[in-house]
Amino acid sequence: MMTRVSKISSAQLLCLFVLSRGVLSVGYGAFTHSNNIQSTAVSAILAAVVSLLMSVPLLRLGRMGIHEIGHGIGRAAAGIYSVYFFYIIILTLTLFTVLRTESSGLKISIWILPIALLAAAIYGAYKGIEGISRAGALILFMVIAAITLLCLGLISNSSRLNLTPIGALKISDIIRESIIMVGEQSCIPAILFLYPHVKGNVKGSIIFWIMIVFVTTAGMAVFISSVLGDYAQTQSFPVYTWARLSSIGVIQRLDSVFMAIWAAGIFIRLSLLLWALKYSLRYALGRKVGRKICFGTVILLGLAAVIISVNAAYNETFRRLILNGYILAASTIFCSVVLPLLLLIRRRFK
Amino acid sequence: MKKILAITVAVMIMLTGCTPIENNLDKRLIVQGIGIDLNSGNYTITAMYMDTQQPVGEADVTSSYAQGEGNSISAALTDTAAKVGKEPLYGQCSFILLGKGVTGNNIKDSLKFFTDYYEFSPGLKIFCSEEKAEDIMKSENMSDSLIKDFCNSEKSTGKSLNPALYEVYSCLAGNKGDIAIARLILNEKNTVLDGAVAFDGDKSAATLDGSECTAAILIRGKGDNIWDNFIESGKEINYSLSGCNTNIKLTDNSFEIIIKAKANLYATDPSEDTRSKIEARIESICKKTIDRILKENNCDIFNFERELYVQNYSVYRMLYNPAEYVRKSNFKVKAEIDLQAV
Repeated sequence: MMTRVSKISSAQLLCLFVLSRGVLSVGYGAFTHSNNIQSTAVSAILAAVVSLLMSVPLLRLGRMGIHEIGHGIGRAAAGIYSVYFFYIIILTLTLFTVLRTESSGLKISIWILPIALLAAAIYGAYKGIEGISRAGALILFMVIAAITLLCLGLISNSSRLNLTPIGALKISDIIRESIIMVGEQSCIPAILFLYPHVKGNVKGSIIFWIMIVFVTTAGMAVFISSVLGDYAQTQSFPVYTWARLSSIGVIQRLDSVFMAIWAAGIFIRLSLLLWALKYSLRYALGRKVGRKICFGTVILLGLAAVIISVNAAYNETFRRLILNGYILAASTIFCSVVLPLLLLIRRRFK
Repeated sequence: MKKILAITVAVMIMLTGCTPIENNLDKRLIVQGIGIDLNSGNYTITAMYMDTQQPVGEADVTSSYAQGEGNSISAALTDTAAKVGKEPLYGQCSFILLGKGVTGNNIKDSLKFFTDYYEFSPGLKIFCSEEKAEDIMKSENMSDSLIKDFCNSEKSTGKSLNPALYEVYSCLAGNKGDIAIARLILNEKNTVLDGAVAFDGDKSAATLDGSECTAAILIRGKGDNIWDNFIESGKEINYSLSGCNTNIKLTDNSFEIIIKAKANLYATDPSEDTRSKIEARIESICKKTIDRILKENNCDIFNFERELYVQNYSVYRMLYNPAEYVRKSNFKVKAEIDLQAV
C-alpha cells in the first residue's frame, strides 16, 4: 500500500471528532429511557475518565503503525473493525430515520432522505479524509452558531427550580447513562485508521476532544433540564423538544434550522465512518483485492445499512436491538480496548 | 461547470416547497386554537382556523370555526378535520382552551396528546374556563389577536398567569407543586380574561382574582411589568412594578419570602410614606393569597415545595407528605421596594 497519504491537521481531527460525536447527543433518549436527562451531567464525568483510558491502547498501536493489521491474523482484526463500522453506520442511519419520522411530518418517502444522505456521504468518503475534515470544520462552525442561537433564545425560560438536586439523581440512571456515553465514543476505534493521516499532536487532540465533548454534554444537560424540568421525562427526544421551544423575537420554531444542521452533522459522521470502513476493508481483504472492489463493497454495505435502518424504524424489536446502549458499549469497548491490546501483545511476542 | 451544476441542483431542490398543489395554504386547515369540552367521557373539539378563502389586507386574518367529537382528543380532532374536508396543520396553533368538564376532571389526560404529537409546539399557551369552550371560542370578540393579547397578559399587566403547555405538563408530571392557568369568562357575549384557576393536582380547586395573580407572580419572582393601584387613607396610589427578584429562605418549618422590585409612581407623590404603603400592600396581598390558595385550598402554585426540594433535599426526602409539610409551614413576606423617578 505505497500510496501518497493525504494528511489532515490535529485541529481538523478535533473538529471532525467533536462533530461526529456531538450529533449522537441530539438523539438522547433513543438509546435509553432514563428518567432524568440531568443525570447525564454526572455520567459525563465517569464517561470522560473511561474514554480517556479507552483511547490509550489505540493511540499506542496507532503510533507504532497499523501495518500490524495488514497481514496474517491482523487481517481478521481489520475484518472485525469493518463489521464494527458497518454496525455503527446502521446505528447512525437508524437514529436519523427514527428521529426524522417521530419529529417531523415530511410527506416524502422515508427512503429518500437516508439514501440522499448516504449518497452524499459515499461521495465524501470517496474524496478522502481531507475533504471530509474541511467540510466538517465548516459544519461544526454552523452547529456552534445554531446551538448558541438556541441557547440565547431559551435562556429566559431556564429556572433553577427545574433542576434536580444531585442527591435525588438515581445511581442506576447515572451508571446506565455512563455506559451508553462510553458506547457513543464510536470515533475511538477510527483513531487506528486515522493516525497515519494526521500530522501534529494526535494524543493532545484526542484528550482535548474528550474534554470538550463531555464538558459540553454536561453543560447542555443541565441547561436543557433547567428549561424543560420534568417535561423532559415525558419526551422521547428531549434535546429536540428543547430546540422546538426556541424563538428569538418574531422568529419562531428554530428547530427546523437545528434539524437541517444536525442532518449536515450526520453527513460528516457517515462520511467518516464510510471512510474508516473503506480502509478497514482494504486491510481485511488484502492487497490482491483492488481499490475499486473495496469501494464497491462499501457502497453495497451502505445500501444494506439504509435498508436495515429504514426497516428498523418501523420494527420495535429490531429498533431496540440496533439502538441498544449495552450492545453499543460492549462493541465499542471491544474494538477500542480488547482488540488493540491483543494486537499489542501479539506484536510484543513477535 | 461543476459549480453551475451544483447551484442549479440546489435551487431546484429549494424551489419545490409549495408543490404539489395539495400543500397550498388554501387547501389546508390551519388551526389557530383549540377549545376542548368533555361530557360523559366524550370530547368536543372547537377549532379556530385561519379563513384562507378571504383576501388578506391590512386587517387581521379572519377565523372560522369547526367542530368535532370523539371519545379521545385524537378522535375528536380527526372528526373536526373530516367535517371541514381539509388536511389539518397544527403548527400554527397558539392556544388550547380547557372548557367545561375538562378543568374539573383530569387535565393531564386531555393534554397528553398535545405533548406527544410533533406538530404542536410545547410553547403553546393554555387557558381554562368553567364555561363551555365552544361558547368562548365563538364569542363575538374572539380573534387570533385577542388571544395573543391574553397570552401576554402575565408579562404586560401581571393580572393573570399564562403557563405554556410544557410548563403545565411539567408541573403535572413532576408532582411537586400545582399549576395555575389563565381563566376566560363570557361577559355579555364577549370573552374577557379574569384572573386564573388554581389546580390541586390535575383538578381545578380555586379561582384567583387579578391581585392574587399579582401576588403569585411576585412570590415566584417573575414580575416584569405589574400594574396596581389602591386607596390608602383616602389617597389613591398608582404604580407599576418591574425587575422583581424574589429570594426565599428556608428555616425550620418556615419560609421567609423577600420580594425586591422597582416601582414607578403615576400621579402619586414619591415619598417614604408611599414606599412603605406599597410595601405593606404587597406584603398584605401575598400573605392573603398564600392563606387562601395554599392553606385553605391546598394549591401550591407558588413553587414552595419545589423550593424545598431544590434548596433542602436532605429534609425533603425524609418527609412522608411534603405537600402537607409546606401547607402547615409558616410564611413571612417582606417587600423591599425601590422607588423610581418617572
